[in-house]
Amino acid sequence: MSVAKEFTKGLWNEIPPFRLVLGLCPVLAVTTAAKNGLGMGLATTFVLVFANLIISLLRNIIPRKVRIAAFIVVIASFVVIVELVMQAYFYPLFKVLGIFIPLIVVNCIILGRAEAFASKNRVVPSIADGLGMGIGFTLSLTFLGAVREIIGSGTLFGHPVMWESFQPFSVMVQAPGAFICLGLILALMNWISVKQKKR
Amino acid sequence: MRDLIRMVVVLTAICAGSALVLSYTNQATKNQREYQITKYVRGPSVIAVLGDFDNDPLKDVVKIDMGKDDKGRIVEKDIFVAKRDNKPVSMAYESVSDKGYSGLINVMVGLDTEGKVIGVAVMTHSETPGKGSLVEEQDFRDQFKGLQVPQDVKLSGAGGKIDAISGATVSSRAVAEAVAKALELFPRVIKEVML
Repeated sequence: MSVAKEFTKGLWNEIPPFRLVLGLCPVLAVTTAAKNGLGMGLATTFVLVFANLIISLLRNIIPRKVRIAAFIVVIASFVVIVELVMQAYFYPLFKVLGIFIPLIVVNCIILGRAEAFASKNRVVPSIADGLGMGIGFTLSLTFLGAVREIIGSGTLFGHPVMWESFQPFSVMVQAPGAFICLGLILALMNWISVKQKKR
Repeated sequence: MRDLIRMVVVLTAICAGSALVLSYTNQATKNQREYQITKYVRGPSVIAVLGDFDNDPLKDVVKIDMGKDDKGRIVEKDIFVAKRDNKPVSMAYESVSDKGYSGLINVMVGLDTEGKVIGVAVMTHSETPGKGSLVEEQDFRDQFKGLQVPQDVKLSGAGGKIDAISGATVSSRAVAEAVAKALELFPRVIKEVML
């Protein structure tokens, strides 16, 4: 498969939360606003790209029996870097995302890509794979966050976007709203795919 | 056997590399992280208790050695200095009382260069909501303004100038004690600030 294909598969065919339905913990928890989704997505993308890079470089050195331990150490290191940098330069975002930043370590997309792709492929395709998956994840989270924010609080990235008499459905920014939204988006994506196939 | 050694060596090398990178990142971001915590956690209180200034008091910090705690670590107090035309005009620092109704009461006290109180803000406390928590109210806090002598910073019942909030005498006394402590520290603070 070409590098371009590795990159684009993460954007639609295998877009992580919607197609693979992986990594749902942050997807459901932090997408109360578009900005939080974007921040979480970018943090995950950073970890994904660099973890893929390092794991791909080391793929012939790491013995099979301890590969998971080695992957986790690499992933956890990048997560801590993200956490420290975010605390130093994006403190309000750091406060909002809270426990979900350290939890990137156990995000199954990252370990999944390390195991399924980076440990078997060369460096450039691995970076493309990480970048594609990361951007797909970011887009998904931002989109979900935007939908929930518009309906739930009537704003987008903190700016009011609805008409003045609009009454926000506050359930959308609470936990059930995440499930409702995710379900509807999954249905929509499946519907589009079915239509495409028929053609 | 060979496999075993290889596993140990590789995993150790990866962990060592990780430790190296992380300790570097930790060092590199340390000051900036401390500044952010100061800005977002203590910052609002600092700005509220200081008067006019044209510098960033959160960056003009003088550290004062407060001795050692029971674990032998050095305790430092941050003094936030407000300046105008590069001259210190007022300063703010934290003070604590453990005489509250429950837990510690942390206050930020702002003082001018003569040691008069210009503002008091209650930062953290766990007093009873609706009773002891009324020490956060401006009417109560404003009573401290202009006081200079620690003996004045007592409840009126004890010969001071502070009227307690009715029903919250203990909390009121604790805040007064914290402010009095800050005033007692002032002679040391002003020496360091004027250096």
